[in-house]
Amino acid sequence: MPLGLIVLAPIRPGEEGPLRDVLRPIGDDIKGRRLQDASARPHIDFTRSRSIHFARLAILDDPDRGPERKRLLYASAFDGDLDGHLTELVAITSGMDAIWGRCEGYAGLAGFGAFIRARVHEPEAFYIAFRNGTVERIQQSIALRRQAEPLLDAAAASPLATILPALSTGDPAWAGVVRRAFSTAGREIASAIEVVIRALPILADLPRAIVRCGFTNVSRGTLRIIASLDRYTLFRSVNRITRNHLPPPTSSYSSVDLDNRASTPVPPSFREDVVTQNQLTVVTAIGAGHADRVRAVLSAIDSYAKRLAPDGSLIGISTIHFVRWLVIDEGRRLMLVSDYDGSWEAYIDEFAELILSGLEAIWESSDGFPPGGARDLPAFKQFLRSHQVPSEIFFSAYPEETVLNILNDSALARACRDMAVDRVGDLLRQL
Amino acid sequence: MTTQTGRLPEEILADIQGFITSGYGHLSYAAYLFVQFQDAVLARQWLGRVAPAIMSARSWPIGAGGKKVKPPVALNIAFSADGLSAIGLPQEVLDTFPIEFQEGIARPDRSRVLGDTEESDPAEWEFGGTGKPPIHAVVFIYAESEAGLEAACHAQRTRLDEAAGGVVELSGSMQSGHRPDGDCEPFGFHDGIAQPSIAGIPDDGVPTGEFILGYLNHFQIMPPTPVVPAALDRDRVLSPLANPYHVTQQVRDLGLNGSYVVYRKLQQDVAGFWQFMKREAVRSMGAPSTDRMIWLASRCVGRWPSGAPLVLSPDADDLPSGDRDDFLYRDDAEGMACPFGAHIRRTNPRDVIKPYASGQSLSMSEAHRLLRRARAFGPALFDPAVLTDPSKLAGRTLDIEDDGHVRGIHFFCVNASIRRQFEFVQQTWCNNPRFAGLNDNKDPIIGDNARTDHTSSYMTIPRKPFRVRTAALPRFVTVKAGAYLFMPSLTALRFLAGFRGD
Repeated sequence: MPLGLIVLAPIRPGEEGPLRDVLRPIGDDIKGRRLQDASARPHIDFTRSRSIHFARLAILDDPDRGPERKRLLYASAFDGDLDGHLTELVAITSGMDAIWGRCEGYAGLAGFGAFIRARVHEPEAFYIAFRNGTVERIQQSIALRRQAEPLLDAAAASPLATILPALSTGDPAWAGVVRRAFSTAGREIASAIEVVIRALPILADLPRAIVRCGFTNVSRGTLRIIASLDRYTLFRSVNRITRNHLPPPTSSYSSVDLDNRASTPVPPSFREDVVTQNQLTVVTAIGAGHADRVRAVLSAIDSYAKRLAPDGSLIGISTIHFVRWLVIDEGRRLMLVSDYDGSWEAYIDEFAELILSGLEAIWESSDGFPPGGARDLPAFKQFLRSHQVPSEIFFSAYPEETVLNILNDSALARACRDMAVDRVGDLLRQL
Repeated sequence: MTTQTGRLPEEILADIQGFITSGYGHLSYAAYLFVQFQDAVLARQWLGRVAPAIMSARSWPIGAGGKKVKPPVALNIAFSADGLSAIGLPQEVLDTFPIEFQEGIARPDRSRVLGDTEESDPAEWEFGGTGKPPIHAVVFIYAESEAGLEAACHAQRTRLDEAAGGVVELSGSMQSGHRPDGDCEPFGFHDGIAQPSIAGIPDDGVPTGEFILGYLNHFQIMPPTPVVPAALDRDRVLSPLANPYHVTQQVRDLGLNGSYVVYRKLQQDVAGFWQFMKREAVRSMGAPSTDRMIWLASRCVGRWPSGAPLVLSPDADDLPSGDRDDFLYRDDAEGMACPFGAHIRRTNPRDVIKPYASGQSLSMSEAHRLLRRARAFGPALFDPAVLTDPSKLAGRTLDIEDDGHVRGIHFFCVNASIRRQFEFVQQTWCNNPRFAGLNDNKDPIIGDNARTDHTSSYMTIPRKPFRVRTAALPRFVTVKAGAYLFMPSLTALRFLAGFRGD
């Protein structure tokens, strides 16, 4: 299962500008504009990594240290363990000191591991679209689909038997036969058991959350999330019995600023309007005394994501690769770190369409949350935009793939590996 | 889902421009005058003379025979942000319009999203694009006959002359459009079938606020609306803004009963389209079969040339006539009848937006509907009847060659939010190569295919035993002009005409 790392490192006074100057060309380089003199500059060559799914660096305000202070956010999702990730990060970075040396407490390469570990922030909620998806496996299934496409183009009517061997993944033939033997009933039973085993710890999540956040907060937060799940029969019954529904809207008007020019959001970073995948970092201030309420909501999301969510879908939202919510600064701030598909506008619309009450539960304690809630979509979008922090660097290991594409490609790869002829046939009809 | 219950009262309809609620189907001829304001005072005087003739959405009277008496001509008007500024509205008012309207259609970041690059780049547009004089307003003129249109245009030109240079027509911008025979767009397909109805006009439909400002929208909320400080509306023409969040701001509602209109002049490469189908037929069948060409082209559109939706009639263009908009995709979840990449399945995915349940899909579709008001331009390149009745080909293969004329459609659409409706559909559904989990597919008809800075895009047609995939798609439709426009209510027109900025 991929792991996540989130680091917040205060930037030394006066070093914000120079740090941006170092980071921007690296970000530009990942975006495809190869630098002329790349070798001479500090660089992080993420494209050499074989284990990083997503990574970003952004510069955030650090109001607790002072109005002018900034901090560096590094957020990544990777395969393997943290040691391996840090080793790789060092290996693909030239000019470590020019980047990290601008942060307080960095004392050279030798102490990098300890420096990072001391600044790690653990998410309250962490959703991973493909819990068994390594970068290698995802890239292999993409490669397999790419291999299949011209085969199908060339031989529009040739029998499956000639195409399938060409797609086989190199396993010995008997391996496929063995897998197929177990691929029907046995597999279904095994996966059913797996689902139950994965779901069981939810029983332990609940008391743990109550101890941390208090009973009222947890019951309230959990109910708010369950209200979001109304389209599932089980949860709908629960909602009906507990009369757990979103209260009616307080107003049919939007509280969004009348002046659109003044409320113009941060300019989209990383051409978030035209690339397949995008990233979102949002930091809001939690109202005093509400941190545990927020934590309780997030722990309900975390349990759902870890124990129940199927591959590629968080409460029905199928455009998220990784999403993390963190309560930082001793409960004073809430941070969202998301890697998603499609345009910003479409992403927020989808959230609003699918988990409205969840959105409200997460952000309603934050300063500036619209009085009409997330249902006041123009105002809610303005709220998110005005708290969004653009990234200086954003990397994805498979930037052209949506969650849906990965689901399709891995289904084909799995069917080929299992030599499941009928299934491969079904998939090739649509490829 | 419907928020407006019952019919909107006549006094409200009388305030909404008729263009929003009617396609004026009985008025076959249209002209579009693109004008520029040179002098704010003269322009307002001109508007004052034009405004009384503007057609509203008021019900047409019932004549002696019990039939509706339809008007023989119709006149409507819409303004760009530049135009509102040139007619004298101060920046503080313009700032209350949506950002996309303020910025206009021809900004580079917007062009990237819309696919207006390379041959569709606003720098290449015939008018209204980068480096050309801006469009300030569009006057829409509709008439029953060519003679009627000529007379109506003449009357409007007289109005312009009276403005004594205060309002001028953009040179070379006059456009005419028509309702083609059989309502076939230039590629030869029956068009304009799927139009959302507006709740309240006259009864059920998509929430009124999706198309008209001042009414609840899909999210059960009033769409944001442009406003004017009360001090600038000295004659109290506009209604006070009813929004309780902003009561203290003393503003009046400029948007009420108005809407936004997107204009795109779309030039169609009709010969290129059919020659591509011919090459593809040869590639897949070894011979230029007319049936195969029509089959392929229909997969790209999602309907047969007659307008019959593939999902109701997948194998042949033989659907008995009837309501051709009454269908869902739930029985075609694999795209075997109508490919996911087909034009109509992208622009309105109805009840199947992968991977969502049908209720959510319908809801998401409803939040992104457009009212289209398109008219064709240029002569038809071929008789579209050959597509529905191949016997007209008398045994010859369909072979359509270019004649050197330009043709296409003037695409207009009405929506309450250009960003959430028109731009969303263009960006997230049409130009998105990963729409519905597809790989490297874009809308085969209007998509920004063959962009040099993108990987090639194709049309994938699910089939047994394997899908059929076309060669890399060329761009069949080129944008030649465009504008983002505000179509005010009749009350707002009176306000604009009587505005005193001093």
